[in-house]
Amino acid sequence: MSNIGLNDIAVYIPIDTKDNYKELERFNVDKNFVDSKIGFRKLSRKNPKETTIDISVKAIEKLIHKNSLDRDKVDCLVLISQNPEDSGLPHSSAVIHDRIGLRKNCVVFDVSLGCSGFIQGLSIVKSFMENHNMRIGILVTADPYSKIIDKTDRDTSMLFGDAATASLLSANPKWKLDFFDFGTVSSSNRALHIANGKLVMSGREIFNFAAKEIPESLERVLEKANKTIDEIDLVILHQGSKFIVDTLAKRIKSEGKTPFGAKNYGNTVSSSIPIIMSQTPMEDTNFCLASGFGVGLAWASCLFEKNKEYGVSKGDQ
Amino acid sequence: MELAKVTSKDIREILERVVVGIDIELLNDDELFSEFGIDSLDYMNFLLAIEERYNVKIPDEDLDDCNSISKLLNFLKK
Repeated sequence: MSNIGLNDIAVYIPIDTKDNYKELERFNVDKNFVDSKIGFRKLSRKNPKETTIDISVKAIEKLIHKNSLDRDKVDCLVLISQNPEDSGLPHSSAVIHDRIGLRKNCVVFDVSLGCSGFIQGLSIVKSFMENHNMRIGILVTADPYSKIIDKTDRDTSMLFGDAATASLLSANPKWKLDFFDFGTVSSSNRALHIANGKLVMSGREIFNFAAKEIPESLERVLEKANKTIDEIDLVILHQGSKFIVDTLAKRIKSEGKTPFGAKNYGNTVSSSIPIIMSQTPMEDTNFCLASGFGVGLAWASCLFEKNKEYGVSKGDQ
Repeated sequence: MELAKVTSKDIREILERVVVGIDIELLNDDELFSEFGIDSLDYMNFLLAIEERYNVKIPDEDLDDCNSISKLLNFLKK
């Protein structure tokens, strides 16, 4: 069985933004709170006419171009989103299949997951490809929350930005993926939900969930990998807010190697991890620990290990 | 630790550890945390630290009973 892993990530972040400094008075917060706690000076906003499919296609086309990818060789494509088009019927990945011009035998499907979606998606695509002896797969994340934000709600309207990412998985990967850890605290499933078409969030419940569960999840990943946090070069966490990233880094003792980089676009849900990974220099990184957490309330964590044999066996990438 | 024995000093130690950059000597026991300048996110983090330290649950509906050191001490002793 081939060992499927991650090769590359392409990102589409819309250039239009919403400026959180313009909301200070309305929401009774100061610049220091925005900068040092929320952490998002600006929130990326797709054009209202752009759809989840449109932003997905932009990220995928970038990935294809960057990697000179032959679209006839793509075996599968999976879209992670809880804001698909047409209420999910047809599944948005089928429309994307048509727009990208993938071959008939390329299988596509949507997966409904939030902020844990990228890591869970990596595991799903990896397992699926390995089981069916596939060589090239694409994992897409696109969850433009601007479609569901209540603009009068301080708790959510200063947090979320729009973006899409596309990740290339292959049998000749740059990064090996292993030691996954998953979980769901379903008693808190209402901490993030939709009511009357708009997002409702219990910030305290999500904070408590993340602060308690994520350090334990990462500890389990380290245990399975027989490593300590000191042996990890980089820790990538879902960019829920600067406050949660800083709090978790303190709890897992990874300060100084846990970047927060979403200042100019916001919490982009399942796109936040691939975006920060694509923006962080990883040449000197051998081991990267990552965790996504949110809607569900669910988490997914894993270890990325640089594949020292990348490029040795030619032919796929 | 028995909750009846928790002191203002214990609470102050937790607050100082969790909230960066405060001068805990300037906080009165009866002063609201919000009036002292502690924001909503630091307050959440502080409450979690209290819950973990004393193995208690502070429900959302009781938050107004925990928004100063003296009120929090009373809540813990209930």
